[in-house]
Amino acid sequence: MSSVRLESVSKHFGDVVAVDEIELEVEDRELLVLVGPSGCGKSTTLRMIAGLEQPTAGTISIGGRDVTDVDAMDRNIAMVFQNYALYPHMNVFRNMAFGLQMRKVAREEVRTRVTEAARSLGIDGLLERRPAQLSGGERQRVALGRAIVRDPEVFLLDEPLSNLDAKLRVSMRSELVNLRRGLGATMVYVTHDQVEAMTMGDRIVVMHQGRIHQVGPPQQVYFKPANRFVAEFIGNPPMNIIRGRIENDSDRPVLVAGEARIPLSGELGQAASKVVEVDFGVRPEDLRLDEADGEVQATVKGTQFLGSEYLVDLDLGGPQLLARIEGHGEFGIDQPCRVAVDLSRAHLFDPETGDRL
Amino acid sequence: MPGESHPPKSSTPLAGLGRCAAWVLLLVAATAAILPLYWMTTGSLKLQSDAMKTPPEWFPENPTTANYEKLFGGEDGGAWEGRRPAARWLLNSLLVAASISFSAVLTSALAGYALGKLSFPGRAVAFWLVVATMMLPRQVSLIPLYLLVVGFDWMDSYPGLIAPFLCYPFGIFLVRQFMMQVPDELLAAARIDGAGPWRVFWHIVLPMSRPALGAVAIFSFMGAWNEYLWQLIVTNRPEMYTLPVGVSKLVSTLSEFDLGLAMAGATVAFLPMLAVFVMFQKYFVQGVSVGALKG
Ligand SMILES: Nc1ncnc2c1ncn2[C@@H]1O[C@H](COP(=O)(O)OP(=O)(O)OP(=O)(O)O)[C@@H](O)[C@H]1O
Ligand SMILES: [Mg+2]
Repeated sequence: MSSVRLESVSKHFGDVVAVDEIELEVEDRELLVLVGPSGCGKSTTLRMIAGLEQPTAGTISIGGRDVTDVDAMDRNIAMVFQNYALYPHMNVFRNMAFGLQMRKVAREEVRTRVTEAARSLGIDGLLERRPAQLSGGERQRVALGRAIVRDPEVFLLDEPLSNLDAKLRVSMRSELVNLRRGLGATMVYVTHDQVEAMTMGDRIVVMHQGRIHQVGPPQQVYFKPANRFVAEFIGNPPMNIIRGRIENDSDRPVLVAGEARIPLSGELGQAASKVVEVDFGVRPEDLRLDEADGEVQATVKGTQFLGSEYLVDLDLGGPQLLARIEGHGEFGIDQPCRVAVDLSRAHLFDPETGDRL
Repeated sequence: MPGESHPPKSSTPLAGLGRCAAWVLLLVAATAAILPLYWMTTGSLKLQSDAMKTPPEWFPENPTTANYEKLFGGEDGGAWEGRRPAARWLLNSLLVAASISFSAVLTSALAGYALGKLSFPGRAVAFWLVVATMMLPRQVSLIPLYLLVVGFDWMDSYPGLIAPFLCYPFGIFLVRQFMMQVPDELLAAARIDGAGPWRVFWHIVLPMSRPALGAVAIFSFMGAWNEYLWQLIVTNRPEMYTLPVGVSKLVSTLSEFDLGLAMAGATVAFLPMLAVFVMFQKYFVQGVSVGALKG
């Protein structure tokens, strides 16, 4: 059992509330991703799990044991830091062996475990080198290796890939996922990159200003965002949000924003009937340019060619929308067109609280 | 070796000229620094009559070791009969300077770690107190220290020579500045790896601070070696003299000023410093440019 549990945990730095009463449960063998914009308290949360930071309030338990007052050295966790934090005066072997030596593991076993971990990461040829003699990707592997040899209850990773170039990041991402499958380990992974969060996490925790806004599997967070912040943060390009009024047009609610009139139906229509002001959200890929079915009048303002798809800027006579159109097409700039909105994938948010209706 | 870089070759004649000028300047400066040392060492090999000649003799024509024999208690004109005073003085100086240097490194490392990397209430105050003692002129503490040493009955003893210098505020300052540059993540990583504060200190912080500690070793050794005034004050018996004190007393007690003997004494006093400097030179240079901790 190596689950992690945070119960109404807060962390204040003087007046700054870095983490605000969060409740979190990481299940055994789960990869949980903490994601959110810079300064939202992800690192602080991770450091509290590690025991590097003492929570101001609340309790933390690992594997059912209350570790709130246990020092980092006595929690059986391993952490990978953003800048790797390799010991510069030790070679790779000693970097990886240090944790085992501190825990008085027998010499022979240290050797076998380090060589084994190094082999699995493809760094067995680098054991004699110092960190300064390694490339960024190699340092990254050493940092992972240092965590793996320890065979800890929980792995904590704080933006471990953010210092790598884009290509290496993608390949390390899948390697990390495979590695973790082999280890069957519990992992808490911090990132500010929502793509990384979506592709890697069993579940995603979206944080903002020290609070947890949503916890759930990637699909749920993507398709059923709990509020406007989550909706806008997850997804690239981000979801379109239009502030508008609800009017009733022959029994059917219509969203009115500027000159745009978007008829609502189905679930969305029912939700809309209870409010006046509303934020309407729809993802760029849920818009189609369709002369036949399109119910909304728009003007094409510009296009970006991305290869397999286009991003099309649309002006609805006030509100601006971004649409993601697959395939090839001709778009006349400043030409009127008709837009079809997939209402089953659209959302309404309370403009005050931001909650999804 | 990775990390080694070669300076770009000077291509234009103007750059060559600049390089030339730099060399000349360095040569002049180096000569100015070395000349007195040359005069001292060669002077120590001259007889009194040759040493006082005008025009000066640039190269000893009749080199002799007579001055050194006198210094180390040779028969002819040995200052304190039957003993070899300079040998004892040299030992005294070495013992005092080595003890002080060792203690300075130890205390600077510990205090520097605490002041630079541990957090505890009063840390800032403690640090500024240390810095404040650096601002005090030596003379201010001379009399209180003297009274203290007399009170402990430490006159004419090694504790009297050593104890006032066990801690070295500048060393604490230097080491603290250096250790502050050790990234916190590194210490956090070591803690997570299962090392307590002492082991973090011993396995991570200390080895990474070697340049600063080397500099402290040199500075404190040099300081102790040249602590003439204090050593003069607390020693009365010839066998407790340190080398600088002994030589100056020896020279001044002679009826006639002996330049060669003085030069020999100065040379003997200078050589151990040279040895220490050569041994720790690498650290010295790194320590002076505190910083640049490569990850
Ligand atoms: N030691 C500290 N002292 C004071 N404030 C701190 C400290 N550590 C963090 N904070 C504050 O707490 C908040 C959360 O910081 P944290 O490092 O957890 O953010 P983060 O989500 O990891 O951001 P990033 O993506 O930039 O790493 C920030 O506002 C930060 O300024
Ligand atoms: Mg962070």
